[in-house]
Amino acid sequence: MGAETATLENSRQATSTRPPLQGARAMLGRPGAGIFIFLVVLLIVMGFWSPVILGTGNLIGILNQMVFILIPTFGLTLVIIAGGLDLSVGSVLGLTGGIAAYLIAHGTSMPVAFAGAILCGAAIGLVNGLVITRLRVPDFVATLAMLGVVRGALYVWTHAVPIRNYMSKPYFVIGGLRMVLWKVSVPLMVALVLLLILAFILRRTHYGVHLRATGSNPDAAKLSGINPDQVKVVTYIASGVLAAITGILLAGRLTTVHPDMGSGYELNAIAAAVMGGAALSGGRGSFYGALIGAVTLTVIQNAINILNIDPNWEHVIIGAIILFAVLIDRGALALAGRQASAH
Amino acid sequence: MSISSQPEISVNTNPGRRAVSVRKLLEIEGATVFAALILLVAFSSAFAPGFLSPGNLTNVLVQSVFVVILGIGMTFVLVAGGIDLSVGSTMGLAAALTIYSINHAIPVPLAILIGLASGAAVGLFNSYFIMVLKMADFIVTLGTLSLVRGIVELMTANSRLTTQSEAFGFLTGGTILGVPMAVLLAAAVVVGGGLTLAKTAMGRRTYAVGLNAASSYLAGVRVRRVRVGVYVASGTLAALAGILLGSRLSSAHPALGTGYELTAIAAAAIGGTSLAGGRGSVLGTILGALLLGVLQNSLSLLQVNAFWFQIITGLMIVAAVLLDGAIRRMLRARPSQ
Repeated sequence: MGAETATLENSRQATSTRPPLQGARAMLGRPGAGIFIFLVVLLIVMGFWSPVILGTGNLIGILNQMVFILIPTFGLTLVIIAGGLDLSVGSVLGLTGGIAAYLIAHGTSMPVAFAGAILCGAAIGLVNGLVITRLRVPDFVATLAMLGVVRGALYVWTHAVPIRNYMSKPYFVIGGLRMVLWKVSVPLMVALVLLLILAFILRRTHYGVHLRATGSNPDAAKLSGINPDQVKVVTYIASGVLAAITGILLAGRLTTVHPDMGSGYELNAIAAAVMGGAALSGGRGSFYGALIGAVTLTVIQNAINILNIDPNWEHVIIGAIILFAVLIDRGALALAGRQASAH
Repeated sequence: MSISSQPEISVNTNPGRRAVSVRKLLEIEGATVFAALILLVAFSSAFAPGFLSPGNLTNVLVQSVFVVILGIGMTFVLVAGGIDLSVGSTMGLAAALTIYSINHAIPVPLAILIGLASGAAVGLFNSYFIMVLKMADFIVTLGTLSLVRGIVELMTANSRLTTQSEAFGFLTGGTILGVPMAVLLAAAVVVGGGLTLAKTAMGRRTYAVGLNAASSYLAGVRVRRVRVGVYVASGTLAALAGILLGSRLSSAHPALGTGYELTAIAAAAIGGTSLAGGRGSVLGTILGALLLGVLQNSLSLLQVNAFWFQIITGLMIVAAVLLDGAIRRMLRARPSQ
């Protein structure tokens, strides 16, 4: 049973804050290692097919484009590690982007508008967390309901009319339409900073240990003095905030907020998180894995573009990769496990 | 299934036995959804112009058929402790394949069988990954959602599949004794599905697997067979819903069925089916699907902004789960005299 091995693996990691590095093979046990190898192979094959794909400009383009999937994937990775699931991120992303755009269009200063959007994202996350932990509504059901409520609220509020006329010079920079540092967009920088912070929290802080413990075994976590409900609520708030940050950035990127902005992003983000080694059974996941998952999804879209493949293949390929990513991850884990037991 | 005995009245007219009858009422699965549906129908009849006209009622029923059929398959999967996100895409696949076959001079009944078989094949595919490769239901069916949708897009993107076949159109357009064919088909699925889940050994095994797969295995239940069965059933029913939708539209477009998986799950959740497995009923799911259908219809008759539908559906899902939990706690706290 893959899920059980994964949980064991993680409880082992959870007990020692710093897992000892045992060479290259031990790295295989890390979530996302399998998909990383897959990504490298994919890039090499693509490179032979069309060298344009491996050009610096194109690679940075892929990274700049991937951000809008990556940041919600961070949120989902957090929630999934704690043993939950958040289907509402796509809707939250749309609503908060709309709020930021609307406030700016109506004369609010940019920082205040952004703060408003982020607060709204946090509030929605808080409601998700409380409904799930206090009212004991299953994660899937609660966030599915929130998906509908938030998307509906955005449509009712805007009367399905897109929000425009909020772009300004700094917002072009924030949305990544104008670069300040070589070809690296501001959204990409934001994502990388978030990656470092989140990876640090997961690996080096008490909260990170509590998070993995909660996801691996909430009862055991409770007995060892952790408040699993509190840990979970925090992950939902974080997921809401990360969705709001994405909404703000995406509003800048698209220069118009359509009321269906971000719909369906939750499934892409879940796919990226899982490709990155997050286990829906909880306790296992990694932010670097999330990065690799999001890059893989975007590389595929990019390759379809550049290689002139019928764009209708996109869903077929992504579906197949979701199915096989888990197997690749498990294969890598099995290799690492064999190595560990040999010691 | 004794819902149809209209027990509401006894609550009001017989205050002396109130506690007992309320209790009996609450013990019936789906009673609260039924009450909500009655309230909504009463409200719509009073305020929504033209709600009670035969034309409109038929329309509500025909519109609800797709979610009812999908919801029954979903109930089987959820009761067995799984989840099937691929049903919306399967609808598209079955519709596209059936219309493609009809356009290639295959007789309509055979074309429909081909469509249904494609749904069963998706179910088998799902259960292979879930049972043999031991992957999480959610991930596998999320993968198939994308994979099958992609196939539908490949089939339909460059040449929109349309059909003029009258026999195929009869599936939704035709009536037998005044009842639309689609409603009759759905009724047959409802009766078949409801009886299988509630009255047969196979149904009991489905509940057992959803409650505790390990102990039902030890008790001699062939867990694998049950779980393969529910996914094949879900895929086949999704295919049926897709064929009916294709017949209603007399065409298959790339996005046919998109998003239906979430509506089906919502209908099941509103009808009291637990996403943790082991609890749920076909009757509850049908009532949930009808509730959604009536709600959508009366909102449009009342000319309310259609987007309120999503908000109200979301709130209803949470309310249904909370109410269900509260009632079960109450029943447990005060055991019957």
